[in-house]
Amino acid sequence: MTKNILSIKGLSKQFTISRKGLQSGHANVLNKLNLKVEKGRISTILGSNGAGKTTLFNMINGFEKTDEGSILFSTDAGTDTELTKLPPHRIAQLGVGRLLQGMSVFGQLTVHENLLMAARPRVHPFYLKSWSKPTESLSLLQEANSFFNKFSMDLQEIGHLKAGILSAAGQRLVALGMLYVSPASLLLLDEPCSGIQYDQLDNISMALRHLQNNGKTILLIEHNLEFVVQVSDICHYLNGGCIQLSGESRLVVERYKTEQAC
Amino acid sequence: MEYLIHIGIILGIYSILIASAQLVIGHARLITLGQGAFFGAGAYFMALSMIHLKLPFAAALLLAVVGNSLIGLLLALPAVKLKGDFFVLTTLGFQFIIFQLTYNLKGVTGGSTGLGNIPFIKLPGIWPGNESSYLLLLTVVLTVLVFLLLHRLQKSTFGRNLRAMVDHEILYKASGRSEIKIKAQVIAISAGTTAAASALFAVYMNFLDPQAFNLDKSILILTGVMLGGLTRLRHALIGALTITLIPEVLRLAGLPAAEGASIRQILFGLVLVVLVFYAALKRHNQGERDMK
Repeated sequence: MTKNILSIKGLSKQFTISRKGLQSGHANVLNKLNLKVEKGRISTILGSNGAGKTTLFNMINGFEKTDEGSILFSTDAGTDTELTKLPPHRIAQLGVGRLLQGMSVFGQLTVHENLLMAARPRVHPFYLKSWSKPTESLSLLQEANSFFNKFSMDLQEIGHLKAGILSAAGQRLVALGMLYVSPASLLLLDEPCSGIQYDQLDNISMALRHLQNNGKTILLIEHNLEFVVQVSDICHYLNGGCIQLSGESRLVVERYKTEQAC
Repeated sequence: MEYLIHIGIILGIYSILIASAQLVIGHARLITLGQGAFFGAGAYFMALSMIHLKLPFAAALLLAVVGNSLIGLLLALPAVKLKGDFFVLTTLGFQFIIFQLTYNLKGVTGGSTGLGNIPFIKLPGIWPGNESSYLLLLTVVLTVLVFLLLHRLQKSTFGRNLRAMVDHEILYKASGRSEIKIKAQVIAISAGTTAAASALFAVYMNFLDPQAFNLDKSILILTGVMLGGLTRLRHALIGALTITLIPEVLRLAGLPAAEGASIRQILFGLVLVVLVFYAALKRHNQGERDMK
């Protein structure tokens, strides 16, 4: 039996719409949503714009408060932790990584510093330790190199560049590389293909496979259906605030296309 | 000679004040109007512990640094969760609270009549010069120490985290770090290093008046940071130099003290307005360049 790394039960979120300070209505973004994410797989959440996909991610990450429901995350140690009451940084420390929509690197920091930020040589019992010089640990470099070499990127060359000056595709790969070296076990990727040139998409899918082979579980939001069918094992169709359909990617994508066409 | 020593000590005090404020305003991008209050709190810590507890300078300084850091945390607790204007207003409120406390706790601080008879540092027997030259030496030592500490901080992991937090706060949280924690740490550290300036000021003046630590002082410190530059430590020196020298230049120009003070205020106000315009213009040009 495969284990679920994430189980969401009865998750609801309501946004209050206010105009000129007057409350004029509520929008039920998520309505008793249930979702299970299997460990080690790549799953995708499909849904039209405004369906609440990013809101769902934000609630798992702790950026948005939950109205009701529970999000159980199974850590590497095997303990189940309730995420809904935790602040974002605690959730990240437990092992939930996130690729933000758009820019997901620290543009003013070098690529190298970005990787160090992600790898988090973490929680010193004595705070003073983090005053010492940034340690450029060798094992981290090797690990990162094994990732970037796949895309014929040389960390020796780009390591000292500010991440902000790289191309969109370069930044996306650096962001994925950050997740690769990070201790996170569940990765929430919000539109990894947006703003990327067509000929670079193969690199992104290769990066996702590489992350999966490295033992990461991936939950994806993506509008590029070809890409979804190519990389994703399981799809969930989010509509009307809950998951309408879950199953093998090809089937769910077909159904999604039909519904969108109607 | 005495005059130059006086300038040197004042310059050192302002350098520490501005470099400490730079950490909050420049590095953490939190505009604060409470640095004057920290300056004052440190000075009263210093004076009271030297008068009542009869502590020597070094011990009193340590107490002032720790006390100021704790007060910094006290301000940070409610303040760091707020953003932009709301943060500025909170620090402004803090500035007023500290001022009113020092002004009205007459039994402790002497209120508007001030707090006098702060003992001077015991001179070591081998020191050849007089009291003020010894204080100048101490000023130089403390200033260098504070600058070294702040420099080290910028180069450390802490400094890298701070840059990352300012750059992309959401990603910073998503990478497992608390932005509230680092902001609170920055405010506490800045308050602590400010206490070094307080210590020198208290001992040098030998007398504390709450008016020396009012909102004007906070704005003056903010102006100093803006004048010099937001992130480089040597720019803090430039800011301190300008702030120290402008009143002296006005005095040398033959203006009476009362008018000189008003003109100084006008000048600093003008400088702040010009700087903000200049910064806005620069950002505008940058935006146009990015569009092309």
